[in-house]
Amino acid sequence: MSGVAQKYPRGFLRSYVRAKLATDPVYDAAFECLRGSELPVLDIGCGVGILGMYLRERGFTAPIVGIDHDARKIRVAQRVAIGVEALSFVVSDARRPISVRGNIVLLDVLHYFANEDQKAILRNAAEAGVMILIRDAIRDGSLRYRLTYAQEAFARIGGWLKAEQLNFPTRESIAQSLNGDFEHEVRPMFGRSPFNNYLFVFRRSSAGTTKE
Amino acid sequence: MNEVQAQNPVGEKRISDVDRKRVLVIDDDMPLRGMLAAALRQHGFQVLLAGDGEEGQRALKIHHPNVILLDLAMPKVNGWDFLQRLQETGHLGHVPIIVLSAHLHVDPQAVLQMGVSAILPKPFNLPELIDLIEHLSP
Repeated sequence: MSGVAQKYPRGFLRSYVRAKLATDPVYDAAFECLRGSELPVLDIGCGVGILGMYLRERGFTAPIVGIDHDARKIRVAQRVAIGVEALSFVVSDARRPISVRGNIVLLDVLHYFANEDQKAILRNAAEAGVMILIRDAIRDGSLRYRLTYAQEAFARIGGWLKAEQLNFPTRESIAQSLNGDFEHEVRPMFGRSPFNNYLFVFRRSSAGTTKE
Repeated sequence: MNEVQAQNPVGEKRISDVDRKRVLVIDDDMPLRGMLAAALRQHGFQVLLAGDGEEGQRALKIHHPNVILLDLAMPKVNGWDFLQRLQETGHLGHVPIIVLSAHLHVDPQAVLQMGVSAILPKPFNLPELIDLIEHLSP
């Protein structure tokens, strides 16, 4: 997927995107979950738009809108997506209600929000989502969790992340917020990183069962 | 010239701009505007975007859309004001209007009496909206 990285400006950003795609398994996992679906995708906390660009590169054709509160990142995403069909990026608040039913992706987003806001985001996602993909580091006290926390704290100091807080969710807080209407499975998403990342895949269903 | 001229990699039907039905989206929700623009263009519509009733009114005068998608709750000139202005200027009823709103604690009958063709509560299904546009647009 070097084609995606090539679309980003030379220097740090291109290296960052190349490294993310090479080491982080979440992009391929998201593609495998979404492939075949024609429903629109809302990528909440899209950053510089890597997932949207990756999905297009893989031939995924459904409309994709990425939102992020960071206008700098959205400007980058908008630039790299010029000429890419049905892919757009806008500055918006993750806590806003969602107007269109479809697939919703939240990669590494929840931990920037307080508990009540996390619940609101998941409630909105539950209302509009047909499939909801959540990837986040889980607060479980493990060494991986502590390393994740340290890395994020460092990124905030460096200014790359404009986050006011770090509040990693627990496995239970995510699962409980979307309970009832969804079947869900949880997969470790460590890749070649030391971080405590898991992918939660929620699929709307009347059954509401859990696979681990 | 109504024939489909080409099919691009994401499946968008390419037809000439003249033949495309024009859909005016009036909504302050930017992610929704982005989503509708992408999805409706893929289905061969020409999409015009406005962030409130004021912009919507300007776009209506200039572009003569075939269908209007209207949110009711917006800053500045909201959907109600927009409908009222259309009523005052005698434009109401000339273009089918579909209200997209999360605020349907209002009486749907009151909305329909304002000359609205259909109401779709948010969150809505895109295929349902597209069917409605196809059905209502001349």
